Amino acid sequence: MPAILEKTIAHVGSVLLGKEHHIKLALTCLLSRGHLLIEDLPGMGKTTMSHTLAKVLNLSYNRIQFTSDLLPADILGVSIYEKDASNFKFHPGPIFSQLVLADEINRTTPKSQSALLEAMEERQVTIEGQTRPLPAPFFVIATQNSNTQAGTFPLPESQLDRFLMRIELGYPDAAAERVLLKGEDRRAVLERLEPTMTVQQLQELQVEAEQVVASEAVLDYIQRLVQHTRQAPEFAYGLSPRGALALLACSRAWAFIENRSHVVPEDVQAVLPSVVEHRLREAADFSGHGGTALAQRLLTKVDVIG
Amino acid sequence: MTGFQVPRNSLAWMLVAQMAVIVPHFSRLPYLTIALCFFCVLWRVMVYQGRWSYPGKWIKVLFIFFGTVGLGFGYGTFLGLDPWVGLLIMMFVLKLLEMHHKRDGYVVILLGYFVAVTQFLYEQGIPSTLYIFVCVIMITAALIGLNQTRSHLRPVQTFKKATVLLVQSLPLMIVLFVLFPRISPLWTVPMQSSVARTGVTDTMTPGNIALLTQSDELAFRATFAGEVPPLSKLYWRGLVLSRFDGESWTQELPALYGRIYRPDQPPTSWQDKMELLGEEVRYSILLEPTSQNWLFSLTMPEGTNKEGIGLVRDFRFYSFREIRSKLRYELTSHLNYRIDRDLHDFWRYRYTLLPEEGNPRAKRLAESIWERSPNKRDYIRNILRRFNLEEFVYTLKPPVLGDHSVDEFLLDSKRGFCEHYAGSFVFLMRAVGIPARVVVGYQGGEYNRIGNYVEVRQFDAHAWTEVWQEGQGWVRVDPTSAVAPERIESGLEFAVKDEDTFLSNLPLSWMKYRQTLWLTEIRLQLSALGYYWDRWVVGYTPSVQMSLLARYFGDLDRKWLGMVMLSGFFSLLGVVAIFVLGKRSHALLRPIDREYLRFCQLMARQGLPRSVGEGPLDFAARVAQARPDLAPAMKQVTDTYIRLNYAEDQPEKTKSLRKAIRVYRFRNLVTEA
Repeated sequence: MPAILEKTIAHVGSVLLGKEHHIKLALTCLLSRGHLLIEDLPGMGKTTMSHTLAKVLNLSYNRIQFTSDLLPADILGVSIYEKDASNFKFHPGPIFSQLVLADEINRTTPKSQSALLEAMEERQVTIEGQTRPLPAPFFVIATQNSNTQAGTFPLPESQLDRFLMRIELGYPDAAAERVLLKGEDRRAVLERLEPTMTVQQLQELQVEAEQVVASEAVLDYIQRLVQHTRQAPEFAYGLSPRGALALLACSRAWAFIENRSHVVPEDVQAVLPSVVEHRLREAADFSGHGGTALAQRLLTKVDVIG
Repeated sequence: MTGFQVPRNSLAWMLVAQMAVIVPHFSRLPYLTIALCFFCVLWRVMVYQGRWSYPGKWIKVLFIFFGTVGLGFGYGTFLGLDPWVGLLIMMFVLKLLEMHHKRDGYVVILLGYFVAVTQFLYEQGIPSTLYIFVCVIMITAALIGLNQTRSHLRPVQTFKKATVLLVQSLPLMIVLFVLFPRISPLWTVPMQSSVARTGVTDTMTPGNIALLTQSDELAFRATFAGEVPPLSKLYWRGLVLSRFDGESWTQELPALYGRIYRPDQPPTSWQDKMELLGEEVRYSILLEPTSQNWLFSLTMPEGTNKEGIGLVRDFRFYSFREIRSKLRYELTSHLNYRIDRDLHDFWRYRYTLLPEEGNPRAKRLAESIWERSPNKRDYIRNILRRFNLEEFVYTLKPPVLGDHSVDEFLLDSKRGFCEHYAGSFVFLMRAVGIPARVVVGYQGGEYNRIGNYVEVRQFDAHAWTEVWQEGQGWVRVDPTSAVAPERIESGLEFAVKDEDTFLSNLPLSWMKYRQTLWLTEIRLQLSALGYYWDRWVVGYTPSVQMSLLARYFGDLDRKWLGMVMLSGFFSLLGVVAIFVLGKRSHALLRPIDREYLRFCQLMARQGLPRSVGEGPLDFAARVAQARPDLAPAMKQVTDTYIRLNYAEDQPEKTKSLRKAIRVYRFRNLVTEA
């Protein structure tokens, strides 16, 4: 693992206890220039994680709390008439920062959701006929509560697809929880953290991650996986080419974090659940996006060699 | 009740298929059973919708009791085929109300296949075969549905799948049909003989042949080896009627005829009384089931070698078994012949016998004509001329005749059908002491040039006479030809054209549209198709099979054939198995993967198989943990494999990997030693 990444993971890990794997996944997503969706129950550390990442990676950070009465202008910004200068002045919204935390994204209406999701896709915002680029790197971490919770607007498949990865944090293990209970306030720890890299360094790492070798054998493996989702009857629909690209990009980034110059099947397998779960649906399941079991089965049905 | 619910798809097809296989039996089932069928289906649907629950034990017992009683009353007997088929159908529908487990669903489906087959006991034509094929597809769809998850909601897709499945199995089915040894059943159920069949009967009363001509049903088809003789010469002799009781004509008492001639027995005393002259005509007849014993042949036939068929004293064929299914037999006939050149006095007496009483006017008429005629031949000619010149009418609607039917016909009504003419002609002959008899059978037919056969239908039924003359024996005289020569030349349709009575009861019969060319074309083609079907599919009996196979493979032993079939079947399965199991054959792999998998097999021999989807690094880690002694070799191999396959992307260079594996093998050998 490159020393700088090791340090980053250790830093984040000091705030978010016992979640090293998830921190690595989040970094993978970031190195592949993708956006991250964290789905879990309230109080599991979703916000803490994104806040810590912003701090450690030295990114400008904004948080948008999504509520049911949030309007697109609250996200993107608005032009206001200034009496002194007697003209309109654009007041940029919270979206104009390098790392945006969209908290509880499924609590707002589809209209506001799509304003954010469009910005994510285009990496620019068009307001009142004027196109304004978003800062680079631009990274959105959205959190959402489980769909079954009251007062939610579940994201449709097409919008879920915009997120490169979706992770669930889950409960911490007993040891980590004990440290959490005994130790000081995590907020104080967060305040003390020093950035581990500059924005420039982060961008260099992104470029390096893209150069990891993916051999024919790995591409074959990815294609077999994708093909299986398209053919096996238990899948309601298969993975899109975008899904396949996402899988490859994430595998590369993961291999990079693992300090390898090439992708091995284990890298694909490590990122696969987070990359494909929210893009798949079981044929027998009409409501949810319960791809978790599917991803596991996909891994055990498609052989690495073939 | 238990939690098992038949999937919607399966239940839908099960019910539809069940109805489809039962519907053809409706005409034979008692009303109570039909009502029970519908009620069970309704109940099952209600159970599916959750409105009703399954019936309790006592209700089921009640159903069975009343169902069985209903069948018993409906048929009046439990002997024969129909009541048992009815019982099977009843149990089949009742089983619906017992589908608590998946296993019960399978029982219903298997019963469905079975009931579908029972249809063949009654009908074996192309339409019913196609219908049963569709039924089988539906039953198979139910079978597929039973094994699909609940999320398959589209019955049409399931049906399509079943269709594809069955169509794929068609070639195998045909091969098995042609080649599989046919074994006669261990037991047989007597078919109900009460099934009414139209056809020539052994009693001729004025009116009953006319009635027969109301039917366009097929009687038989004849295929000629050479040229087809003109239709007017085709007299299909079936029965000889020589006893007259004043009203109807019946056969001679069988006891008087003596022994029936059979080719496998010594010759009889009378068989040389037949002299065959002129050209021979070779042909084969495919007879529709008649539920009778007599067979039809052109005059005069040579003997036949077919088993179970004999020649009767009046030179016609007789089947020792009742003809319940289509029968094919080959014959050779001579259109010119001389039979019974000498007639024994006893036979002269029998063939001139008339009832003492009745028909006095006809007898007087005969005598007056006899007095005017110089000899027998002139007498015959005079009578025929009388038929021809006086106002005799050939009609399908003759008036009802009283006690003295011959009198009334000859002198009053003068309107009659062939049986009137034949009957009264023989009467007039016998009245003056000339031996004569009535022959019934069919005359003419229709030539189907597509199938190259002559098709004879019930409306071709005909009655004519044979008169015995000194030195000539029995001579055929057809009085109808004197009245209505067009009947003999062109068939019944032309003979009764004016009165428009041809098949007047069958407004939609194909036969009525013989004048419409394109319809005729279609009809001939369909008929030819039916002929080939009867000949090669329905008529594909064990003996036909053996002779067909003998033509291509020489003489075959049935046992040997069975062995070949079975071994062929299993080798086919073997090939399929190799194809399916060997799909991931190593030949398709890259060289480097092949080497690595070989190494994995070595590991599997150590009790550490690589599971599907397990990457090389994970596998190496697992092996290292389980067997630390193998760890170094494992690492060596895995590192090499990953370097070549994933880092350098050179799957062709297997040398170093092979070397690493060799090192492992060597070390392993040493350890084991």
